[in-house]
Amino acid sequence: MTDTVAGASGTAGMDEEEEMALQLGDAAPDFTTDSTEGEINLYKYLGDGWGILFSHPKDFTPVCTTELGEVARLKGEFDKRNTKVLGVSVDPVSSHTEWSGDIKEATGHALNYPLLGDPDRKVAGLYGMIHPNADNTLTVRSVFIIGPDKKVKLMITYPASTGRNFQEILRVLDSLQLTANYSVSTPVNWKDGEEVIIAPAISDEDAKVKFPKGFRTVKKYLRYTPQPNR
Amino acid sequence: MTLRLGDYAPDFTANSTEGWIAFHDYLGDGWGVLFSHPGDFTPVSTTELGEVSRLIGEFERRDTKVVGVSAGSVSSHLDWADDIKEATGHSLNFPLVGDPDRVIASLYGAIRPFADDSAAVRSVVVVGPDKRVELLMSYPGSTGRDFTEVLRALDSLQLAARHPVVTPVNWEVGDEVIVAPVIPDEDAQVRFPLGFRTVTGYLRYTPQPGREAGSGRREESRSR
Repeated sequence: MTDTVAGASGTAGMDEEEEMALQLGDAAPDFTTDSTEGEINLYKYLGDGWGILFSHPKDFTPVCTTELGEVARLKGEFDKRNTKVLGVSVDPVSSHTEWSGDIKEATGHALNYPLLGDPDRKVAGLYGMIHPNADNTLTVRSVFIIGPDKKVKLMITYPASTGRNFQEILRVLDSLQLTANYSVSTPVNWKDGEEVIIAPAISDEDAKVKFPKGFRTVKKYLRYTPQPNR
Repeated sequence: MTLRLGDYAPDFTANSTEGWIAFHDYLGDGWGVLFSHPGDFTPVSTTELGEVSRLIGEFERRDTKVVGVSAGSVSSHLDWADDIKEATGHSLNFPLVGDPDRVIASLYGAIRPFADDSAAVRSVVVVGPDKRVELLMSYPGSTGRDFTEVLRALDSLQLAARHPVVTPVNWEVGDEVIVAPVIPDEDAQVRFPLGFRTVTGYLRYTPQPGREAGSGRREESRSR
């Protein structure tokens, strides 16, 4: 298995104890590694689209089985959002491949995206997916959303006990993609199709031009407008 | 410092809209949600704080205290609270900590709750009764959080703390849960008198234990 780590000069010589803490806006560390779909270079694989890198603690464990089946079920939703999904755990690819039979059998959904093998914890180290006070050796349930500029846009970290909610991941993807293209942000609990908020930096005069559907002002910094791409 | 799951949540004492707060004392033996917003008098944060106020009963029901924090001063928070009420119809009903010197920001540095405006982050830190970090979220300024998801995760964390179970993807209160793999079938039969069904050797579903006490939560937490 190849595990060349490219484009991550800042991590050279760091051991696990000192692994970098990724922050929103940081460049997502690139890597090349083996997967259930062959060798993958992260940046090449994502191309100009969006990416989701998510870790699970271990193959042949129950919550992970339900999560990976659900992501497989939602593959079309990610495709629609020009988003590639990659899973990772510290298990080798051979284990992933064996486990994928269980995922299909238990959830009815066959694995349809690459699962990275990371037995030497290269990817886990780059992304800080191992939290020693939670578990010394296994990755937690991390989610990293990576934009087309290869920057980290959003991070979620759940413990082993708690399966994630991939509807929430789709919801935030919709928000991230909308706000990347328009001068808007999305309010609490927003869902695709609902009103959005005009960025405070936009004057009322400019807003009238940019948002021809109009807007309503609740406070001078809180102006709602219909979702612009609808 | 890098904050990770399982780490001790740093304690702090700071002034808030409800007076001085010693964080750990304030949480007592219960759970805590510490969340940051990028700035007072900003639109998405206004909707978020109004929503958390609306949901305060849901947090209380889960023995969970909510504390908000940003780099704004307490006097700024108090001014802004009027806007929150006017804009959302919900009065601020939990302490909003002022952190103008960014002491808390640096204590919780890894989540960079409020760097500068361009890098402002919406963080959520869920803290267990043992003061350990249970869950972390970092959303960008553009994207308001979904506090129904925070409640869902709290339900899972609390259930898993009480029973040897874990919760599957997208789980909500009332749905089946998963018997922890460390529990052998023989023990599971005793511990889960409602029975369990085995999908694969390690994937065994059982009705949510203690459901009687928690019944009705799902409807409440989902109501808007």
